Amino acid sequence: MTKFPMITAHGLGKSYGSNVALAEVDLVVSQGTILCLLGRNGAGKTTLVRILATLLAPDTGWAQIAGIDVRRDAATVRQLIGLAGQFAAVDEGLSGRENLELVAGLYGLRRRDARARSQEVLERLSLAQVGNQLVRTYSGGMRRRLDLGASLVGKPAVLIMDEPTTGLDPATRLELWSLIEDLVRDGTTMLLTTQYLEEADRLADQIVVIERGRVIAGGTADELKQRIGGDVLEVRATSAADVERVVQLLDGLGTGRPVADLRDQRITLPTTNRVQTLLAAARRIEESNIPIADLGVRRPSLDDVFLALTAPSAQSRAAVPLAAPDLSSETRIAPA
Amino acid sequence: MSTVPFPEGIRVGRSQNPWTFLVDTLRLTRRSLLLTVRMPQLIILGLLLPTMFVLLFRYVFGGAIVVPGYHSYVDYLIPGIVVQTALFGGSSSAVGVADDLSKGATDRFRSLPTSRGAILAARTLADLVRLAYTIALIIGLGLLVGFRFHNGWLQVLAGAGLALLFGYAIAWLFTLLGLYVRNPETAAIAGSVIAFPLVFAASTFTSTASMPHWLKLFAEHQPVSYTANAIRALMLGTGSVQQPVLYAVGWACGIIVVSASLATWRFKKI
Repeated sequence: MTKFPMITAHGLGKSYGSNVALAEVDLVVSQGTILCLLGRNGAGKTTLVRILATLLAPDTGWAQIAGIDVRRDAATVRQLIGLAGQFAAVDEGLSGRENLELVAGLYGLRRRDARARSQEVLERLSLAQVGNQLVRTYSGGMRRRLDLGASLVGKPAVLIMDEPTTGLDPATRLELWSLIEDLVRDGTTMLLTTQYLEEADRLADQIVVIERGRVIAGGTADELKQRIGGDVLEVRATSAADVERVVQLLDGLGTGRPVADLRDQRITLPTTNRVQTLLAAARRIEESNIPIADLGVRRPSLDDVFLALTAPSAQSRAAVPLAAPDLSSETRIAPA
Repeated sequence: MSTVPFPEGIRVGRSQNPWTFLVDTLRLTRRSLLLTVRMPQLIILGLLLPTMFVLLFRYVFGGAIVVPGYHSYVDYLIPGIVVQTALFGGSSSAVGVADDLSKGATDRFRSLPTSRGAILAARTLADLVRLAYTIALIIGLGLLVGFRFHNGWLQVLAGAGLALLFGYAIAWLFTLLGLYVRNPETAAIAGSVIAFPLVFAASTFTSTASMPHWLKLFAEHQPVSYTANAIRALMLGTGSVQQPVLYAVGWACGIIVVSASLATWRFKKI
């Protein structure tokens, strides 16, 4: 079954002088699914979010929300989207309820509807108890939830969230994740940016990795992990001089080439068989008598993804490119 | 090429028209004013500065200042303080705009189906309400320390109206500044840097008669002097009315037209 594409971008680009913030970004998000845009600080995530939220005009390419162009018909797009920006953009001097009712009013809800809807959202976000208190008295997690609530009061079909869990404690993050999952289950389409692989892993139907404004990989969480080889074997050498020898020792043990980070004398190796690789590595290191500081296997981090995706050897292995969004069978939209 | 039906349950209905513009402006004005009311310490501090200026000039410098044509210095002083307050109040407009920009509130409002013009209109309207309240208190304080109206009520009201028109122009000018500066702290400093010379190189606190020629040239032709003189003429019945009022209104309208156009243009691409 073909699902309706609620967010579509093609060839999006934006530059500030000679600084390229975004280049040739393509993506498609189907209705009721969630796309996680994974990238480091300054990778271009916020630029993309701002273009989709009609806040910034792209230099090249186009983007559509529910088939409506974000530039040509921004006014209509704004009725379809909810935006939760990088900072909790709620007013400290207003109560939670006042914040929500204001935004509901600006979405065009009548006073009575705005009240009812705000109450509904407060309850859903477990903020009903503190709804009449000034936001000034809220904790960071409560503010985040209220900010998400503000982006929900208009019942948007598309929710755009820029690093919603950055700076939150682990418990609040879990809480927000389950809320996001509920929303997607109810049919909301979501684009969420994050720096955390774990977050993308848990939430995303589709992950797009961007670096320096460009999409460097895309696919499901599983596809992405296969790309970096599942787990990561990590060895810490005791001196920089040993790093190259360890790299040679480990070569051929994992699913990719070992990558060395000379700054902290760390060598990482992607692997799909954690036990076998760990044992083999331990044996070789012991036989070679090279002193090491640490040896272990761990889950891949975002850094590993980037290392694997940007390392020259990784690129040569990329015979099978990860699925870039397929725009060849262009989908035409027929608004009702 | 496949055709997928537009999803059900998605409605787009809100159109932009003068009515929604008005309603949204009032909603956002209310927001801005509520935020002020919920920060009483800011209101008190905002009143403290003009109060100190009234007392300082009335009792410390006032005795040594003689302005030809005015037998009571406090009569000359209060209209000056009113204009000064309008200008210093402008800094808080710039800070407010920069604050909303840096905290993401502006991004949220701009992503909503509301007129972008309403966001700025509300900002300046709220500034105007705050200024009206402050000016009323300053005139009240002035009356306590000896200030008196010497003209008909209509003229006095016209004088107050002129002060508000000037304040509204300043609100737009500093809104424009806030949109360019973007950082609240910088906005506060930039606001003072602009406000200080305009307030002091003017007929705000004393006559321009004793200033050196080059300074006098600037002081007599800038909006603060025209506005202060026009308010004096209207509230006290001193000197000619027509000329300063005409120039004061001209300056204010000019500032509003230019600043509002530039601010609206800037706001679209911020």
